[in-house]
Amino acid sequence: MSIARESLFSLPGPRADAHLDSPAIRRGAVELRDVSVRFGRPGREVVALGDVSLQFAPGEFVAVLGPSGCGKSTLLNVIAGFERPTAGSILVDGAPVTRPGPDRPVVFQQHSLFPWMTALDNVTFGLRLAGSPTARQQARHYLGLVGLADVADRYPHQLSGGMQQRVGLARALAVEPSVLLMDEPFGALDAQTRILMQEQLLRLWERWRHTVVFVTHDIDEAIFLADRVVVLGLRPNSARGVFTVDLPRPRSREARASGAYQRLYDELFDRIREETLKTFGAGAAVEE
Amino acid sequence: MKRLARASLLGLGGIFVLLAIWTVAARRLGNAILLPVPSALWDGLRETLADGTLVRDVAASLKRVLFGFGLAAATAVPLALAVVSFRPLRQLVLPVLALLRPIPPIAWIPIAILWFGLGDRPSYFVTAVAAFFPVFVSSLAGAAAVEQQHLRAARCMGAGRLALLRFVYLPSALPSVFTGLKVGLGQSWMAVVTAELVAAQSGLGYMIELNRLQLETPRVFVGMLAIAVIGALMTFALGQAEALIFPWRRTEGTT
Amino acid sequence: MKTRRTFQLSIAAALVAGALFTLMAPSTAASEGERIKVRIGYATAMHGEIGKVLGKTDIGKKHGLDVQTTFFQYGPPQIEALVSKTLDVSFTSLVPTASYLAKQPGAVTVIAGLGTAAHGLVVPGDSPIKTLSDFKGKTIAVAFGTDSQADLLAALKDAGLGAGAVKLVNVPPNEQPAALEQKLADGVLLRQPQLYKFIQKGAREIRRWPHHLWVIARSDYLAANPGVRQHLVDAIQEAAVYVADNPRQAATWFAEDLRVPAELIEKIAAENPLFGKAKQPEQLSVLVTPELKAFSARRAQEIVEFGLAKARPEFVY
Repeated sequence: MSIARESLFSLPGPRADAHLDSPAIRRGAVELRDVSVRFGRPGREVVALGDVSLQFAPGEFVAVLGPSGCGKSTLLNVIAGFERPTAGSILVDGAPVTRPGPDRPVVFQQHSLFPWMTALDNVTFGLRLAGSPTARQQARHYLGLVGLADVADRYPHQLSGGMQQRVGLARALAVEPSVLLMDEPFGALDAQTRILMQEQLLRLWERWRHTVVFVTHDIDEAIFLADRVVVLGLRPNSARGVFTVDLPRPRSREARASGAYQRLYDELFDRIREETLKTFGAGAAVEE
Repeated sequence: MKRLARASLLGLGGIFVLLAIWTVAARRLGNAILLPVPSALWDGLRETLADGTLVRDVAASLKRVLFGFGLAAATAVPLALAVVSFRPLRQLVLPVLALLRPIPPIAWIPIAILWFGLGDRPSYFVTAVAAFFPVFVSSLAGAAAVEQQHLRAARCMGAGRLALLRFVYLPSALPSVFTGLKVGLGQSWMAVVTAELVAAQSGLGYMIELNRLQLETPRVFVGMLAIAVIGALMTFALGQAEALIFPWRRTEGTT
Repeated sequence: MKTRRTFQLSIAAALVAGALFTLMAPSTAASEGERIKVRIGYATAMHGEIGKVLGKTDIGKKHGLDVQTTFFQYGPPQIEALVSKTLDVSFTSLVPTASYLAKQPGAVTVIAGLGTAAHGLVVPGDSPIKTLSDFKGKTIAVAFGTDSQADLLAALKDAGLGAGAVKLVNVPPNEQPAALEQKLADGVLLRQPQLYKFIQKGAREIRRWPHHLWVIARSDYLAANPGVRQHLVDAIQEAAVYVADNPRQAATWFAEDLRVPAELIEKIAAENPLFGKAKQPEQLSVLVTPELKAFSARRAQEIVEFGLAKARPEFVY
């Protein structure tokens, strides 16, 4: 099955898309090799992430699941380039990650839109920085894709939480990333909005099939969205297991009732409960 | 509407009562130098308006303030942004500024006269010094309070250091910058009057000093009134500009 | 709601009442005790030496006065102190007195004349200016509100340099040395002892005028303490005699305030005709001479012409 990558407007530079049938050119392969993130002085060290090795294929939708304090946000941060690992390396398409960039944008849970810019300006931002001459048009297009074309000139404080997240998504998609990083993006939304956002995310993702690394604590969300689910645990903060989601795409609400879904849910639930119980005792967990 | 009418009526009533008490006290005291009657102040106002000296002095003081204030703002804001962005610069600059900051602008006047002579130039220096620190401190605080999420979001959109300063630090800090500008302008205004008390030939400070030497207290009051009114107008103007530039910020309760 | 309003109103009323009360309180009268309290101000003008002597010796006591002296920079601040009734007697000169009398006729009385010192217009040693006319279009630093300003304006007028021909900048005496040394103006009007001090340092004198020195007292103070005027005049006389008899000691005391060498003060004091006229110190007179009265009357007119006062002052003796 070939995964076509479309680009509606061509951008100048090496990221201009060409024929993408050959897997060698497919982008967004993420590899973490023995990555740990520690901070503090020796002896009083806090291990945010301990010895994690993972590989994500290009175009894969990976959910990262785990209890509070297991380091899932830290994992996202090192892929994004916000934090440097104390040991180990992160490679994207073979190249080491040293700093943040538009090939790996992040959609945060809250407060990531620039309040002094309109929705349109927020989406235009990355495109402008890349030097695109048609930045504004492209931005409008992406806003339209998330259904917000008619609020393009509103400021973030004039938009609801769900709308803000959609703008954040449009902004990340607009720069045509290799890897889309999402840090509990729907966590602050109400249940119904969250479900709608999940559906919209999948619809958009189907078009381009970027690699997605999606951090969440919500098991339903993880199963519904992902191809594979990585479970992180506490003490040590490392991977407890990687689970394949064997459900057909496109995912539907009905799938939640299927047996396969239920079995996977129960297994994940138990794994996470096991980890979460560790915090219900002596000692404090690490901050994510 | 009724509330506004009542508020204005009370306000006017208060002023009226003040004027009445003032007149009575002045007549009882009988010393026109210590406390002139309000009508003398009114006469002084009319006279200085008629002979153009009030307008001339207001213009002179304003010019000095705006120039010095502009100079201070143009240096303080970029410096604050740069300091937040570059650690070595921060370590270099902050101790020096912390040392200079407690020196009140008034204390700079003798040095300013020695360095720049008589006339306008020492005033520019003094007003600039007066405005610099409030603007710098506020801008620094505003820039330092920038949301990490915004910085991160910008960086993963591909923003380099300069783009971060321009598109994240500066807009984030702008509300604080404005607060600093308001305070700085007020300080400049106070400093210019003090600077003009010595070796100036125009301006509201000069007007006050000159009339003081001639014991013309009504005109001293006129000068003080002009200072108060202009100061209030400038603060008001900056407040309006602030509301215009920040549609996304709810400035409730800020003066 | 209502109680809060009444509370606020009563606070406001109390504040207003308090302010009125303080404003209308009578000025402190002299003490009822044996000696009459007198607060004397003197400044850097040369007769301040006599004032200083009054403060340092018991001369006041001998004349039934409890003397308290304060040192000022020059005349105008002393006038302000008189206006606010924190000073009773002031060693000053004509123009500051005139400013007060123009606003409040009869507020002060001239009680003694103490001869003359000098003030002069100087330029830096290397200045191309040679005469008064050379100042056309140039700047002179002078203390506004003083005899220096009036004398300068009169001299400029005589030299054909009317209003605006020469720019006058207000520089009080403390700032004048800096103005000269930093060449902030083309010329500076200095009074003794700074005048000699800077001539010694190389400044060139363009013109010199006598600086008339006298003593004034608040008229209401004199009225409140009958007879104090005579005591004051006697005390001032004796202090002047003291200066004549003990020039070095008096100069040393005054030098503390002026921060110039005592020898310079002694030299300048000796030039005061007050001390020169009498053969014996005891014959020295501090009464206001007819010549001084005549000069003051002329000066009163000029003061209005030069715009230093809005109404013509009437000097009271």
